[in-house]
Amino acid sequence: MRYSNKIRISLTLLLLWSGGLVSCGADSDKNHSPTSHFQKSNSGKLGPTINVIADNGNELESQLREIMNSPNLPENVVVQLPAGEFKLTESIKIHKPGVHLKGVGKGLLTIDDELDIPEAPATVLDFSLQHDLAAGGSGAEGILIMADDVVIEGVAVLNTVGDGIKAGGVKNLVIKNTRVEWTGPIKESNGGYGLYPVNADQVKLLNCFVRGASDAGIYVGQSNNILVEGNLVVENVAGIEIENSTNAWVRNNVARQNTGGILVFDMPNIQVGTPDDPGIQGRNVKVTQNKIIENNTRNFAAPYNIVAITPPGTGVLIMANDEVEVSGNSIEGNKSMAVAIVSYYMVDPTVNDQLGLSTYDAVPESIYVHDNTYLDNGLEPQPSSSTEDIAEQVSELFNELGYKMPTILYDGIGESIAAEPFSPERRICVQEGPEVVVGELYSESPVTPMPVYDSKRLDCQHAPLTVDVNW
Amino acid sequence: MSLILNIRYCLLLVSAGCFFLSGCGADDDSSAIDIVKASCNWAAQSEKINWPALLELDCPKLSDYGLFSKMDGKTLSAHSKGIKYELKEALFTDHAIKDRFIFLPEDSQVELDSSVPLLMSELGVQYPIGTVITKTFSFNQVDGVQRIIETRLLIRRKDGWVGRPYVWNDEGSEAELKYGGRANIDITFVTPDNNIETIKYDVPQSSECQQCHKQDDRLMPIGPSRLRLLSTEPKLSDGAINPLLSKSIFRLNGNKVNLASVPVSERSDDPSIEARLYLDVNCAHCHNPSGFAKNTKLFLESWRPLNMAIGLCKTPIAAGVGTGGLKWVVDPGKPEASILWYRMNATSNATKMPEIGRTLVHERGVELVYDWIASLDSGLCVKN
Repeated sequence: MRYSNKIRISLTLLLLWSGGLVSCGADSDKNHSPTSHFQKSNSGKLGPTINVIADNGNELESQLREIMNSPNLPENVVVQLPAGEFKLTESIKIHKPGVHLKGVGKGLLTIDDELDIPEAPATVLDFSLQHDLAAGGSGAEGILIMADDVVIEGVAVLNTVGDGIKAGGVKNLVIKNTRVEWTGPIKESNGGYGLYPVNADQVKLLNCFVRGASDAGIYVGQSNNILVEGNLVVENVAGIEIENSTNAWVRNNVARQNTGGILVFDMPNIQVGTPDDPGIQGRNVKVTQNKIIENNTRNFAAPYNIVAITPPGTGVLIMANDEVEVSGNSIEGNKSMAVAIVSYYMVDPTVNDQLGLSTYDAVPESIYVHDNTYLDNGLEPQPSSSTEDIAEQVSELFNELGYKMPTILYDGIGESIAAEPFSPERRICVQEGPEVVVGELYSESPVTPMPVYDSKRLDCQHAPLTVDVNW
Repeated sequence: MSLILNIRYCLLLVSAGCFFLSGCGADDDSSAIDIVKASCNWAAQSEKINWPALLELDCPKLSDYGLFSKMDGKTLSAHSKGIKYELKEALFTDHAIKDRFIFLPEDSQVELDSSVPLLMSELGVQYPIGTVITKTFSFNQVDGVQRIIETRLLIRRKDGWVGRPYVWNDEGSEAELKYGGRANIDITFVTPDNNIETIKYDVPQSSECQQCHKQDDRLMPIGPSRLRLLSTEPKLSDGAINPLLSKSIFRLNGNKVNLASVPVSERSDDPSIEARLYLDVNCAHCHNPSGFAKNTKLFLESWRPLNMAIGLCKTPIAAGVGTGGLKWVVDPGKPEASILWYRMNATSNATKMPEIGRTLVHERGVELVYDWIASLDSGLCVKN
């Protein structure tokens, strides 16, 4: 079924979103895990509540400074923010473990002006003033989390100069029913990431809405044990990106009108590391039951950020990562291709000649794409920028052979440079309906493209991946 | 059960001791029975440093600790136990004048261990429990009066280091503990080059102590780390002997050592390249494998060889608009094409580095790094 009717899409999204409002993330847990987030994350109970009362951003800011830095903050304290719109100049920094920062209600969709959505009570933290040097303030993020067991819930973080909500080096993080948005038309100067846990362990990002990120709406990097569920990501460069991470499950999200819907990347110098800082190789990533729809927005990332290579019209892009399963997703109306499985060599053929990177595993292995539904993908491949037009070039290669762009594209470089065929467990496998065409680009040589339309090399199966999200 | 507190009401009572600032260590473990009962009421005994309070209590006033014998708004004289020190290279903080002291408990030693790799680690230099490191920030105002803004205390307590910010009153006669720091203090001042600048100065909140001082899971000193101590010149900028080095407080690999008597070149493997030391001091507290920017994989400690970890031919990881549209962190031979140089030259919150503690561009630092990058061989990277 194609979501071509605008009202239909909006209503669907609204339903999904209001589901988030009501459930506060608990329903999804009932479905998929035996325990709620808090029973384990915060020793089974919430601490006392501090009600913050403030009439304006200045008051809110100074109170949050006092509260968040108090040496006597109760354990598992709930910091309840008031409803209203607050203009802030500096990042909210959380460095005490167990803080539960809670807004009133949730951010609402603003993506469709035609829909008359009633304003619910909401805590809106507007960071527009961070752009104004004369306003002072410090930090580029909206909320910066530096402690374990933190919960962020029901706040809207708008227009930060940098990332929306960043968490560095933390354990057991939950962000839910939260909205991060760069309002107004999308632009290059928007912050990079909406939700941005990095170097984290045990991350749940649930029922959030992110729009306008100039890199990724939801980005989880260099982390382990990840659940990204029930989120709506719209008009970001990457809707959701999992990078150099292990044991991640991305499920039941809607990625719509991004440049690329869902990306799974393994970057060179993160994977390789240094002698005193071992690298992290991404593996065991499941992408299931997502709606990945019409991700045709122009690429507005700053050049040389890796997402800048993403062609508009990309549904799912797996680059260099091993052990990825993509199944049960609805992938529709993505103009360049539904699914691409490529090596980093597509971006930089010399990557392993570069200083210190000779051991980088640039090719994807053990990939399993199966049982997704596809509609109207690859109909009009798009250039990523004025200088990068990988999708268009690839499309032309297939056109010259008299074919359209395949629904699923595999670059094949990994296998064409391998000394011998991939063993069964390393293979790239696709099991889809007969109408779904798989194209392979470098079928024989890593240097000269020799496109194969309807490649049979990917006709194999893997066992489904197991990702435990019950921590 | 919910304990509802009206924070606005609470803030009115801060000085009287609302629950979240009542502090003064009431909850602290006081199992060490031989310690004198700690108290912040120290005025009567002001000839001595209030060691018991330093070890246990967060006192509301800086004077409660008795660290400084003279606090008259212009000069800050340390108690005789305070050892003034300077560093060869210092973190740039909008040209703030910084006065640094170390206070060590009686008869204690600072242990230096040169066998530990030069990581940003507490293992390389161990300060005894009770050590207090202070840094006082002030600016030369246009009228010639020095305005004292804040004093940061880093105290080595039983369970590790704690950071406490004290903000000075307008008269400069007393400083009060402000866990939340103080945002947006308007300051107009004269730079060392006699330029007049106006800034909004931020006294960092406690959480921001962590951003720089936390390495892995522990808070620790950055300035007087082993590398910095070992590369410190024996003389202060005014020509006087650097008292820190001449004090017999150091033990190197278990043996007493007078650092002042050992030339820098013999005690340090610090590189001769000034730019690398500058980057080490200004960036490496975050940009190292234990620091807050570890995810960037850009590690700027000065001991690292010339490779990708220090930015050479390195593409950005998560810089967003901070790339400035540039490809490599360090593009050898091409400073203006290097993200490192671009971000040091930026003042926007979105792009500047370091992220906190600086609103102005440090011309000298930028020049050092410019010249260093320009000196690198462009053939080091494979261009594609």
